[in-house]
Amino acid sequence: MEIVKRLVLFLWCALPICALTQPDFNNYTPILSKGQIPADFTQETYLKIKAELQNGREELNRLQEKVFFEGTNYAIDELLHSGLVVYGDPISEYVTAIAQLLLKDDIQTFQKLRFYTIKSNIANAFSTDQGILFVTTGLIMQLSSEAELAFIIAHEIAHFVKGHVVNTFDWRTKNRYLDEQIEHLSQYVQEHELEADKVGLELYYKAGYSSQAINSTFDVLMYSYLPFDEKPFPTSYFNTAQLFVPANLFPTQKYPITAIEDYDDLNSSHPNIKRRKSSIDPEIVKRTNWQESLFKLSDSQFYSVRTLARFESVRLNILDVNYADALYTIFLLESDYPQSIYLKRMKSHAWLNFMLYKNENLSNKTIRKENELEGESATLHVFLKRLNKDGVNTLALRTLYDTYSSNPKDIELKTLYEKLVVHLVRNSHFKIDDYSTLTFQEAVKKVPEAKKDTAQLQPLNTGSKYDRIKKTKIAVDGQAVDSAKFYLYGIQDIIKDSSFLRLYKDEVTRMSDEKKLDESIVEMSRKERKAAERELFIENNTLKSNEIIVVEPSVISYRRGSIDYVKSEKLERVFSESITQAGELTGIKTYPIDSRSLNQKGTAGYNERSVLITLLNQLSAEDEMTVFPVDFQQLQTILNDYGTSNVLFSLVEHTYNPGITFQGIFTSIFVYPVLLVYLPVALLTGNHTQMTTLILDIQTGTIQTGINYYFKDNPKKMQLGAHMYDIFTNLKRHE
Amino acid sequence: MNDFHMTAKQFILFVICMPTFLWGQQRNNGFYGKKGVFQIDYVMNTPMFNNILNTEATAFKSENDVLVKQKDYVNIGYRLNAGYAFTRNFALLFEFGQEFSSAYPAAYEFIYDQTGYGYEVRHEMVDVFTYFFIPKIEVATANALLPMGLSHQIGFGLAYSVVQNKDYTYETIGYDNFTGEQIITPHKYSDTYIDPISFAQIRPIQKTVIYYGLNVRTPLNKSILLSYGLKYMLQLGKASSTSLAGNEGNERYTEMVERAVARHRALSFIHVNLGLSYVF
Repeated sequence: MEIVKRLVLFLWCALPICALTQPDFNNYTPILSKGQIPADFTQETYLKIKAELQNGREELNRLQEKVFFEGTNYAIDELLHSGLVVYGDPISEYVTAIAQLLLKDDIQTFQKLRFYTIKSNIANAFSTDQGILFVTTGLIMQLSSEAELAFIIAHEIAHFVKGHVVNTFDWRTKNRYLDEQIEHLSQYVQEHELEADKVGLELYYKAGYSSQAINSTFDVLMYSYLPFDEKPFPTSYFNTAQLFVPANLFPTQKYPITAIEDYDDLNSSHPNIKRRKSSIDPEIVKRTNWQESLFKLSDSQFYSVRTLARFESVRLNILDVNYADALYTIFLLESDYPQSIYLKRMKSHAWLNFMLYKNENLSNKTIRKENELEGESATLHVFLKRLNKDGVNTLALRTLYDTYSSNPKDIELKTLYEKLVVHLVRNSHFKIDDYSTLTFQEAVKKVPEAKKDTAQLQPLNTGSKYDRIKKTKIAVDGQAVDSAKFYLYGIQDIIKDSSFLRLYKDEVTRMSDEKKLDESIVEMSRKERKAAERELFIENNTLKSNEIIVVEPSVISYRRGSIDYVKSEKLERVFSESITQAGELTGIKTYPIDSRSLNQKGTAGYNERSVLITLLNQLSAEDEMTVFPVDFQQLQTILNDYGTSNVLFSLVEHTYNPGITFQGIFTSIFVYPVLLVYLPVALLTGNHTQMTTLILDIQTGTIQTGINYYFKDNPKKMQLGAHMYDIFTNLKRHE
Repeated sequence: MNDFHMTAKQFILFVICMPTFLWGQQRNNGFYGKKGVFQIDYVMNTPMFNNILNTEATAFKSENDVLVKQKDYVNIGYRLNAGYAFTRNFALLFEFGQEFSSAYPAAYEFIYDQTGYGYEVRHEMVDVFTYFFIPKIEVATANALLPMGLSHQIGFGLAYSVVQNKDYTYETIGYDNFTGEQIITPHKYSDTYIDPISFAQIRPIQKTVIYYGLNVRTPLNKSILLSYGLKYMLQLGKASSTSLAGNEGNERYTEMVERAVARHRALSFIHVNLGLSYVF
């Protein structure tokens, strides 16, 4: 009895722990960094370079060392600061655990390595000379077992141990004049890949993983451009009691998968799959007594991590404007997680954004091209491609209305739905009167048999030419139920819903008022118009509150056509300080989120910065429209934490180019004293500085204002500060 | 790895497409809210190209009341500017300046005394003070923040050059009747010997100045800016009111001094300035 009691007690204690370790996918939130922020993310790049230069590299001379350390460190830091990299998250932790297993006999190497995850749908993993091993969520989501991941990690560790990065750099430096360099370089790098496979295999073997998972790893890589699963997309997917989408709108043909193992790898960094398999097979056979474990840690941990990556892929597809892929991925995940509020939100995001693109005639950017269609997801791509604007608007409204109605307390779904209604009123030809108050089935029942959908019920390609003309005419006359216009019967309940009608009419009234205001301004005298326009301008370009979150500014200083990284980084610090100072002088409270403040804020600050950079990326993807922020929840948290919705992004680009030409000097010599004017003027006016600042409103997820300065001056602290003072003074709200 | 490109690239692309501020609507906030400027510059005028290349342009200076050859490389002066930035990229300025230069009419010249006896004379360089009065407009690129930064200055004004009356040294050159040896005798105006230049007759030389300047003000702090740049000044006008007609006494030599001053003005084309600006 005592044993039973103890068991019950143990279960009571253990269950919450299990629950904590298993993510709640129904309430999934995007992957964020956790724990203490690593120095890789906070240390300034030039200090990293300095430290590496002190240690040096045997393979390189002093000049090469400088070029190599600068090149690699700035490239890596650009990635680390891109907002795409996470640390301490379940995926990174899982990868670390596998690496520890692989390197159980080589603790020293393990201690040199750091493991981070990149949020990207591209399946990839790579290691750097500095000892950072990156894996992408796109890779994790495609894998079938822990063993496959272990082989990839072992391969990347082998790259690090063998110093392949520095060797490739050395080779490129020594062979820079080699004819057909790309082919030679490719050959050289491919040899590294085969070597990494072999060296990695030894680690993999010793760790006790399965020999069977090696070739399947290559299969994963080969097919990684496809979604993480291949399931037929049902033509009845969108059908509900209110909406009927005819099956004939979906393609009947199949889109075969074309990837082959023996592709042309002449200019590729990696050997083709066939070569890799044939190279590794003898090594597998050579080793005996394989332990054949697919999971050394735990299978549940693997599946949990993989599901995380799959959930993340939905968000990433939306960020990458791959809305068809996003919807297909949601369809794949919905079968296991039908109640996931996250999937419902993401579905609303996908439909709303797809609708925005469609109405701007840019939907081709969101769907794969005809020649890129492969596998089961092609069905959905083709369907979305075939939908006209009205069809998209209707399906978007249907989806967002339904998801919001089923979750009326969800602020994100509510905001998405409201934004959709605003867009319907302002940017589309949506008219309530165009829509039927009947469902498709009801409409079909009401019309005579002969006038029913000719396309659906009686194929047009039967009968004589004259029969077909008559049948078509019935359909065109509009008396029949045309299945191609199924959407007209898809929102019969919504257009009767008073809450929708109120929302819709309010927006119509608001738009009408704005139009009247515009018209009244046009009718004003020139002086009055100017005053009114100025008033409007000031109102539109005034901060909501005199507080602003300042995301680390970017500075790019060019020297002889390439980026001077060291100067750029130092200017970044100076610019950051000048923004803070300008804020103090103008009475605008600034909240810096930059590498330096991360030392105090730690991981919370890092996550905030990543979320804000993601918003910037999303808004800058397309300048013709403002898509809905994918990280709405995280932005709301930032809004609550800081108490302000203003976020400042800034970029300074500088180059010194006096534009002195040989022709100019040559001509001037003969037309003295033109030279005395030409040269000094050219030298004094050679500074070109572009300073751009964007103020984002995280409450609405929009760009509030953008300020673009060009001046012929050297960007130093006081100059930048003066411009920021000017910007803040103009933006400041005067109560 | 295209997928992982830094936001900056997208940011730039985005910004290119982004409509910029309507500058007409933008308030003028000056440099940290300051729009007035007072600028004091050290000016260096370099007729040195002429003096180095032109061997005739040798001149003399007095050392212990004896003339020694001296090339005139630089003229110096100062400029005072006061102005106000009415918009971000437009300001009005008034420039007052003084320049200290030298003029040397000729290495040797005959001067006749009242008895009609001629002396071959060489004269110490004469000091010339030139005063500038130039109203200017200052313009900069659309997004500038005057008074800070690079600006183009265009002005139209006057320059007055005044030969300074002081006790110059000059030498008469005679020859020993018997030996033919040169006899150089130094004199001072205070000696009232022949006084080659009649300071009572010499008048200020007025020139019209067409001015173009390229000026940079780099902030040192929120009130003081380092200013530097170039000034190109075309100084136009008659060389002298006389026409070397006089041949009596020192009349001709005086006219030659006037012409030398005028020539010197014309050669003073490029000026370099370095100074400090105070903004308020």
